[in-house]
Amino acid sequence: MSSPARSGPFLLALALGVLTLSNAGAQDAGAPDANAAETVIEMSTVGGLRFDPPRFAVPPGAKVKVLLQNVDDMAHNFVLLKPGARMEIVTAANAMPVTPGSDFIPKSDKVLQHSPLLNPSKKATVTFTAPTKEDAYPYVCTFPGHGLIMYGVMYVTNKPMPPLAKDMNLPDMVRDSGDPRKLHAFIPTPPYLYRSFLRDCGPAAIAVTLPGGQNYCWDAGACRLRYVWSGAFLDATPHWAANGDAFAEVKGRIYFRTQPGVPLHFGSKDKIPAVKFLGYHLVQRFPEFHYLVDGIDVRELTKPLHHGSGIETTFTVGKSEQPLLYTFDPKGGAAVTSSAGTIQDGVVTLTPEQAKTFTLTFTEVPGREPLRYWSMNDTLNKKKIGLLETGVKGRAANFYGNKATEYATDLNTSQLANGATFAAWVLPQKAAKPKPAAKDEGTPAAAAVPATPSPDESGDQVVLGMTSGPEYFLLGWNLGGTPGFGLAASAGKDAQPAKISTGLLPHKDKEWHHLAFTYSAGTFTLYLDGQPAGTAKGTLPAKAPIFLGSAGGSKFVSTYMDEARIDDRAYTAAEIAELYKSERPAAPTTPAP
Amino acid sequence: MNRTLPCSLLAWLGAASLGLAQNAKPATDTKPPAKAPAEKKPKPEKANYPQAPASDYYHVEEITMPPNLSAETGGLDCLPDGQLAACFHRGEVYIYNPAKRQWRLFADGLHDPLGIHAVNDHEMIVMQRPELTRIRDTDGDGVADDYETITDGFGMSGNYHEFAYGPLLDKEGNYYISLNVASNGAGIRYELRGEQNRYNPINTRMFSPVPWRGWVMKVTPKGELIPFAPGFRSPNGLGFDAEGHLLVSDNQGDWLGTSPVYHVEEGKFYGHPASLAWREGENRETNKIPIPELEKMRTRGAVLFPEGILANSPTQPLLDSTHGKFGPFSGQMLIGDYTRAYVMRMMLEKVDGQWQGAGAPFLERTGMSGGMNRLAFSPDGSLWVGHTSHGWGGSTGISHVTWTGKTPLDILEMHLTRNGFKLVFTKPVKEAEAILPSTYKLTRYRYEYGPAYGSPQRNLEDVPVMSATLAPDRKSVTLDLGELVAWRIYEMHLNGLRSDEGELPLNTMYFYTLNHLLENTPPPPVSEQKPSSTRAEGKPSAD
Repeated sequence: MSSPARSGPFLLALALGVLTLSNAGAQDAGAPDANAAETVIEMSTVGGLRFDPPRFAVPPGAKVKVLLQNVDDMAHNFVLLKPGARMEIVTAANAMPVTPGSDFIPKSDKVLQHSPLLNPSKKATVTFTAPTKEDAYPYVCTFPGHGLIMYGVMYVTNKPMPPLAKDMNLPDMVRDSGDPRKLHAFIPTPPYLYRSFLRDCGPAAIAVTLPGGQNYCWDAGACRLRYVWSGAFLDATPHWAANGDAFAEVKGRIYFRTQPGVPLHFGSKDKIPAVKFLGYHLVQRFPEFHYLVDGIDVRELTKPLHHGSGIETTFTVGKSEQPLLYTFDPKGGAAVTSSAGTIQDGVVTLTPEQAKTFTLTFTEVPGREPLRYWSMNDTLNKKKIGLLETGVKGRAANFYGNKATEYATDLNTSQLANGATFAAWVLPQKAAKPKPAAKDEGTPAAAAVPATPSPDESGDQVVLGMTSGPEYFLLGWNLGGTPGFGLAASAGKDAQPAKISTGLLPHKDKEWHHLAFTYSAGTFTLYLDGQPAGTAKGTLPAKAPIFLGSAGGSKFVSTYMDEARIDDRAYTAAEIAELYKSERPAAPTTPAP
Repeated sequence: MNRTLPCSLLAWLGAASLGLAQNAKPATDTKPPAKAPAEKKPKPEKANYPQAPASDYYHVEEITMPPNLSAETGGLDCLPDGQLAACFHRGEVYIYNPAKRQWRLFADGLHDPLGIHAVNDHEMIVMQRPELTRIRDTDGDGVADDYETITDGFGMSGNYHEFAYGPLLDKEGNYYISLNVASNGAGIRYELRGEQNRYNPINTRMFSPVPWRGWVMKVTPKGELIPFAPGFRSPNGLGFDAEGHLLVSDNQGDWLGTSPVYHVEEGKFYGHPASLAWREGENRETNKIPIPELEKMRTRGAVLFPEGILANSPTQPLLDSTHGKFGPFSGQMLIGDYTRAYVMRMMLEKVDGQWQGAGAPFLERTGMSGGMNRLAFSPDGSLWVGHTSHGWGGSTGISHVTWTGKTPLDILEMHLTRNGFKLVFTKPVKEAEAILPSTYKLTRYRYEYGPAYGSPQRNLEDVPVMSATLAPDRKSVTLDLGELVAWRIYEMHLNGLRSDEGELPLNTMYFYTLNHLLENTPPPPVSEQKPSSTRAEGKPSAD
């Protein structure tokens, strides 16, 4: 964890004050150098895929010397980039072949400075002059799999840095560690676990966090892995608060979800195995789950991968006469390999001898899962309901058109710098008339509510909304008095708003519709039921929180919503069409009365 | 950045601060329970008469808890060496050394543990939401490393109200646990653990969507889960009395006119019909079972706690097994209350084949805060009290209560006679007040059984005292009340009684659950409530 002494203000004091180290040989011979002082940063790469310090600040044009030291047990580098270039460079580096001597530096003008790849305990020095343009310059480790969470930021600025807990240029694990809220009388250190209520899992859920930012959800009722995420662990406080009528919420990014059903089968994969949970034993504090599958003893121990993003699970299985099969989705968010047996078409087959102990490796395949996904199978909001409604897949959430059902995601448009996609299934409901004036809603976006409501007499119905000052983005229907599904975005009160509208009026057919949009490089594309429905030029609001079911405090939608997803890149038209086709119910479904 | 509920929802959660089992509290109740008009308002005599200060007899020390621990106490148990095992809401198990005043973390990660049995300082049995777990330190480093599932064979629907209580260990090594039903204030999850109730699970306000919710269960030493008795709603407390009878508390709410403590026997039904869904041979939707049939089937509470007067949410019953080290009430049962800042006690007796008796406040105005969730006696005879809030008022932390050695004046025993009560005191009383009928203010009333949430007092009547006869040793008084009516709670207040030394009583109000007369008990009154409709009480609402 970084110590405060190494953060920006201290270093500025260093640069401007006491410590001066000359850059040998770089001095001009004659004229005095106004900026003779040099900023020295002692940068370590530490366990848990972190930089220490996680960020620092230098004045524009300052001479900077980064003394890099790798104190971790994995190889790392330090690569300084142009603002906003992290994801592009990390994606390029992840694709580079792992060859000896490679430093994993993609060829790109977005790379400003870099160190070589350092083995554990090795050091390097990176010396440079900071840019003159004030901005946030990311630095990252580009070793494949690290860059998604191992990064920091160099602020070129004369102003103070934002508070650590709110600095969106930092990984959420690091922001988290600045969270002053103390949840226990001890500070838990990975690996550790919480048994709690988690979404998209049975009621007996176990959330486990591993060193290095790998986390997983394990279902103690179904005796199997449910999903894996990287980054920050879990916010258990909503479930702890009050009487427990809330979920513990995953904080990082889920990159892998398992298929339904127990993956282990003795003999045939067509027979549904009977399972019984027996508990867990902590092996060097890692939980090893113990359960029976068809009466046969299984122990399952999961650790993070040594290299890259992923987990490895070691199974120890009791005596069986039959071969053991492990099934998985080959197109899922993790590439699966096994230490024994054969793999074909998503089935690992092991002989009884091989099955005694074997290790499966799950390596993250970035991009298979969206940034966030909501199955809506369990309540998203606190409105009292009996059983949830039948949706397109499983259950759907009912947004009642009021503040109680607005859902504040913890996402922000700053996470969508490289593009965006949102898609959801909606079944619009009759909405109440809007309140007469916008005086009870503060934002200029709210002023878009027209004096004369649209034909079906409802106000703006916003399925996905983002607002930041005068900037906004809205996806939904009846926006700004224009009937039909559509989107609207504005970059400010003097800017021309972007607007796309379809002719299709909701409520007319009482059917589920797939509503989606993509955003990339200043262009919005709207999709309805898998088909493009218009484009417009515009921008997403900067640094805006993202809401489901409202614009953020206003414009609450009346609809059923299901299978919602948001991603941090723009899908192609073919991908949207494929998504629509794969989710489309075979027959029209309407919720139970 | 943490995902947080929008402020309005947090406000909603805060507003729904009712008892652990949805007991209405006047100030914050967001949904008043259905009430028929009360026949008569309680008389002002309900005000407490002068009492002795509790601090003369019992000292309380608030224990310093580990900083930043959310000390919502779910379970307490003492080890033979005096160390205290405690489990807390966010999943921690600690061991407290009272001599050194040191806390040691033993285990963590548990899901809302609401009871603990300490086998020794390296093995604990804990009841958490999903399972009964044996937690052991097998490598001797002082921290648990083995979490063995003794049983998870009961259902979970994911409804927040499905708490799990226990374990209570009997002499044969069986554990008793109890399972809360679900609340229609929330739904059930898409994925359940256990078979789903074949009927629309939300057919009563509190419902039993998956197996064994609303049951007391027995777990054999081998881990076999056996259904023991149905009919419970929120049975947040199990204990054995001095003879080994199982006592279980429940909470006022739908089908419970006021909170009871039941004497629980295998196979008997205790009143809340939702759990009948899992009884062998029961095929009916439970809210379609006629009320008269349920009345005939059910066993009533042995002690009833009048709502709003004595207690709103009784918690754990615990035997005073100190053989006199905690004062004069050894052999009696203590019981906490969630909502009041006192521990109560129960004076039980067998009348005409049935256990019944009196409840009364005991450790009152000691400086302790409310939320008395768990109790445990130390081998040295002192009492540990674990507080919790769990989103329903109360408080946090652990109190340590010791007896000063001075015997308070109080009613030691309350016995039913042919025409009244015999009150046995803890010490001789002054004659002057003791023989005055006006010293004893009695009323009687009853609560109705049915689907409504709680019941108003019915048949509220003053009870005149014909005479009060003091025994020659002045340690007991026999009250002649003329006639006795069965199936009533007799509420009695003492006004002005004094001990020989001039002490006031430690407590002045007592509530005797008079189900049975000594003999020839008439049949109980028939409920006048109507059966509930399928969607009980219309829109679901806050609990």
